[in-house]
Parts: sequence; structure tokens; C-alpha cells
Amino acid sequence: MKSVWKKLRKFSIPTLLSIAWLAIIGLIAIVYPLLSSTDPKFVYENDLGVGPFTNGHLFGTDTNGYDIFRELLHGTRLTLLVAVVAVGVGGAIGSLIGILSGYVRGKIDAVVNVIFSAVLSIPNLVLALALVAVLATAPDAYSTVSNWRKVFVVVLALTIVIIPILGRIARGATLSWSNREFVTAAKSMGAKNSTILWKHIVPNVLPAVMAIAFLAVGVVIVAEGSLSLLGVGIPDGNSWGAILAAGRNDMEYTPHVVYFPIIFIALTVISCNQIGDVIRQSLDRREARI
Amino acid sequence: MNRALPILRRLGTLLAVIVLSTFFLSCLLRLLPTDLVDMILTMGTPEEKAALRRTLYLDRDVFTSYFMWFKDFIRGDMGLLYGTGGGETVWSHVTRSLPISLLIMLYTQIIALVIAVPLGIFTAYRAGKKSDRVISNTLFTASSVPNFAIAFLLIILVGVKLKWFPTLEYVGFKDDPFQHFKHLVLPCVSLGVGLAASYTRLLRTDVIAALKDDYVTMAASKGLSDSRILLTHVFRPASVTLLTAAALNMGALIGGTLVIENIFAIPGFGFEIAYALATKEFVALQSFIAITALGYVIFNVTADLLIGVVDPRTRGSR
Repeated sequence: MKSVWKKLRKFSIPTLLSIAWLAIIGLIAIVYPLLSSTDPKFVYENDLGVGPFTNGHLFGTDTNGYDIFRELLHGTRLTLLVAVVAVGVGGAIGSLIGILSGYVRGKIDAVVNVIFSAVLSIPNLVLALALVAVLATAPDAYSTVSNWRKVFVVVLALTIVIIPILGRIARGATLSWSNREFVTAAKSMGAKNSTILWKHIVPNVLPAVMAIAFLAVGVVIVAEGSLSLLGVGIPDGNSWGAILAAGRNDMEYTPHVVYFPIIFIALTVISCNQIGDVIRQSLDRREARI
Repeated sequence: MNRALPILRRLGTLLAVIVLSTFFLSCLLRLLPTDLVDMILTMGTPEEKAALRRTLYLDRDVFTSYFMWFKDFIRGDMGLLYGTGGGETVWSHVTRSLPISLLIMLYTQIIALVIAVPLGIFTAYRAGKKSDRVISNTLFTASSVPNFAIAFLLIILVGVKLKWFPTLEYVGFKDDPFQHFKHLVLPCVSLGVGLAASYTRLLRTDVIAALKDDYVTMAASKGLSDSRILLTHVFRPASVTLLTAAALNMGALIGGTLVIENIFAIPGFGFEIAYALATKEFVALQSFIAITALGYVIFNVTADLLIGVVDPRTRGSR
């Protein structure tokens, strides 16, 4: 425990605040669904659209009578789940492709590079929109798409968006690390490709991917919010973006319904960017030492 | 020949990227869990359906239908919007909405540069001092705030509470220039703040590096004035970074414009995309997204070429 404190003391105050905020929402995402027995959609009929700090509603209620604080805590889980799964799975697939193609080089690498460029040539929100539009279409006019399928489609679309972003970073890092002396030395000593990849390339490439992965979490959260605002995101106020999208119609009468989801989204994105930046800086410093 | 080869290779890659990304969209259309023709003509007779299938090239295999589609697409024949009874062509919607979005992006870039250039130079000259630290940290935070968040805050504070600017709809420049700018202030500012923040950061780093360079010391010892040094020796290399940054941020700007247009109800390209999405106009959607990808690629290439013009050192190596 003491060593953890020592490590934390090295960071600046904004970084510590970022870590704290991410820890808090992470905890909310895991613990809140277990603790709360009340429905986030409980309607307070006597408190329609009241402001913050009235009648025990910390963040007020919206015009439907939903408690905003409770909705936000409830929405934390899906918001973070979407971001973590999309970046985790997309990052893993992207890194795998990127590292292998950067290590093998030659024609395969050229093809992978063109494919990455092609996918990246579609702005990421537009790509996500296209994927969601196609995949969340009901098979015929008489059936509807279930909410779980909508969530799955959003996650899938954002995962596909993330693959080339992190894949390209992994590829670039692999290209530069595999030219280093210690890799040549290992090769000349007759080390197997798998050994070189696992012992020399991956440990050096992953930190670079990690730094961008934090930024990617921010990108995904913003994209998820944007999808909700465009009406194709996670349904029924189950994520921060969805709460924001539902609240924007009554923005003139109950502005707090818009403020609080915005604050949650903005703080999370700022924290992710701050941590990503710190990782990148420490990598640069390490690089400068070598 | 030696000079032409890298350019040819780049053009080849470019073409491959465009073809692949549009082909990818074509395949996506085939992934629809439902039959596109049945969706458009729910009540049509088998003959009508067969005819539509032929016009959409859905009776061929993926590759042939893609190349037929691409040939039409290049010629501006992008099919119809079927929800409106088949009366309106996709191309007419493109020509109506695309200029609005391009204008918004242009204004946004101007706003971002107007904020970023003075701030970047100011913070670079005061690097490490308190004013630099405050501005730099604020900007880092601002660059992380999603643009829809800024848009909502501006709408509530400046639009609804203070009533300084309208928060909805669009007025053409020809109809009323004053109203035109007044309507676009809030959307462009909400898009420009984040962009300005990232430009300032890059400009600051660049100016600091340039000020330490030998040729600046040389220019100063020659007795050139500060403003002259800034313009000719510091700003020229820094503008390369700005162009690169503009190219890198273009994707985010396109996505941002899409959301912002929908928030402010501006009938631009992003609005069309969202509308096509909501009304399931997949034929139109395919062309819209292909145009977005095309525009993005073209912008990046132009930026690359401009960098070559500004910075002669990169001409050979790129």
C-alpha cells in the first residue's frame, strides 16, 4: 500500500484528479447496479422537471419525473462497458494485425497498410453511423430491433472503428522497434520469430498502444454520445449520451438535464486524455534516455 | 523519372484507398439483414421489383455491381431518394447541402486560426511562465471537451439566456449576409474551440523549437526586427505543422460538423446523412458516405502537396 502512495505522489495534481475520477466512475459502473434496488425510471410525479438540490434530487429531475442523478449512475455502466469493450477488443485485434504486419513487412504489410488507410479514410463517426445503420435494421417492416441488439451493434461498430486506429499505431511502433540493434542481435543469435516478437517487440510496442488507447476511450465515449444525439445510439437513456439526447428537447426549461451528462462525459474524456498524455510523455522520456 | 516515381506510387495508393473504401461501403449494403428492393418497394409487383433490382445493379455479383455503381457515381448519377416517392435525385441533395457544410468548415478553420495563431506565439514567447502554464493547461482541457458539449453550453448560455445569437436554422449568404453570419456564429465557435486548442499547442511547440534554432539567432544578430524574424523565419516552418494538424483533424471536423448541424438544425451535408439514416435511404447513404471519404482523402493529399510547397526540404523525401 505504501509503495502505491509513493508512486502516486510522483504525478501532478491534474493527473491524480483524472485517476481519481476514472476510479470513481469505474466503481460506480461495477457497484451501483448491485446496490441499487430502485428502478432508474421511477417517476416522481410530484417533482416533474425540478432543479438540482430540490426534494432530495441531487441533480434534479427531467420533465418525465426521472431522477437525473440516478439515471446517470445507472448509465455509467453501459457507457463504460461500450468504451472498454470497443477499445479492448478493437485494440487487441488492431495490435495483433499491426504488430504481425509490421514485423513481416513486404507485400502483406503494404496490403494491410492500404486496408487501414481505406478504413481510416472514412471519418470515424461516419463509419460508425454507416455500420450501425446497416446492422441495426430490422429484417422486415413488422419486426423491431431489440435493445440488446442495438447495444451490441453500437459496440461492434465502435470496435471496427478502433481497429485501424490502434492497428496503425502498433504497426508504426513495430516497424521502428524491429530495426533496433537488440532485435538484429537476437536474430543473428538464431532466436525464433515468436521469441523475438514476444520478448522484444510486444513489450516495447504495447506502451505506445496503451497511450493511444486512453485517447481512444475518449474518442469512443464522444462517438457514443454523438450516435445517441443522431438517434441511433444506445436506447432509452441507458447511457450518458442517451440521457443527453433525451434531455436536449427540453433544454430551454430544464437545462440541468443537459448540464450533468455533459459534465460526466467531458470529465471522463479529459481524464482519459490526461492519462494518455502522461503515458506518452513518460515514453518519450524513456526513449530519450535510450 | 526519379522524381515522378514517388508521386505515381502515392497516386496508386490513393486510388487503392478510394476504391477499397467505397467497395467496403458497397459490401456493407449487401450485409443488410433485409432485401433492399423489398424495403423500397414494399407494395411493388414482381416486375417493378425486378426493374429496380436491375437499376440498383443488385442482380449482379458484388464486384460487377460495385464497378457499375462507381462508374455512375463518378458521373454524378447517384440514384434517387425513394422515400420522397422517387422524385428527387441524390445529386440534387448533394449540391444543395454540401456547400453549406463546406462553408461551416471554412469558417471553423478561420475561427480556429484566428484564436490559435496569436495564442500560440504568445505562449511560446512566455514558455514556462505562469501565463503560459495557465493558457496551455486551459487549452489542453478545452481540446478534450467534445464539441457537442460546447454547443449545448453555448446554446443555453448565449442563445437561450442572453439571446445574443439564434440557435436554430440557417440563412443563406445571398439572402441576408448579416443573418447568415449571425446564424453560424454558435455552430462554428463550438466546432472551432477544440480545433483552436490543438492548433495552439502544436504552434507553441513549433515556435519554441524555431526560436532556439541557429538561423533565428543568426537573423537576430543580423539585426532583423522581432516581427520580421517571426514572420519569415519562425512562421514558415510552423505553418507546415499547422497544415499537417489541419489534415489530421479533418476527420474529427467532418464528424463534428455532422453532429453540430443536427443540433443547430442546419440543412448541411451532415443533416442529409442523418436524415437518410433515419428514413433508411441506403442508396443515398452509400453515395453520401462515399463523398465524405473522397473529400477527406482529397483534403489530405492537398495538405500534403501544400506542405511540399511551403517546405522545399520535404519535396524529394515524400
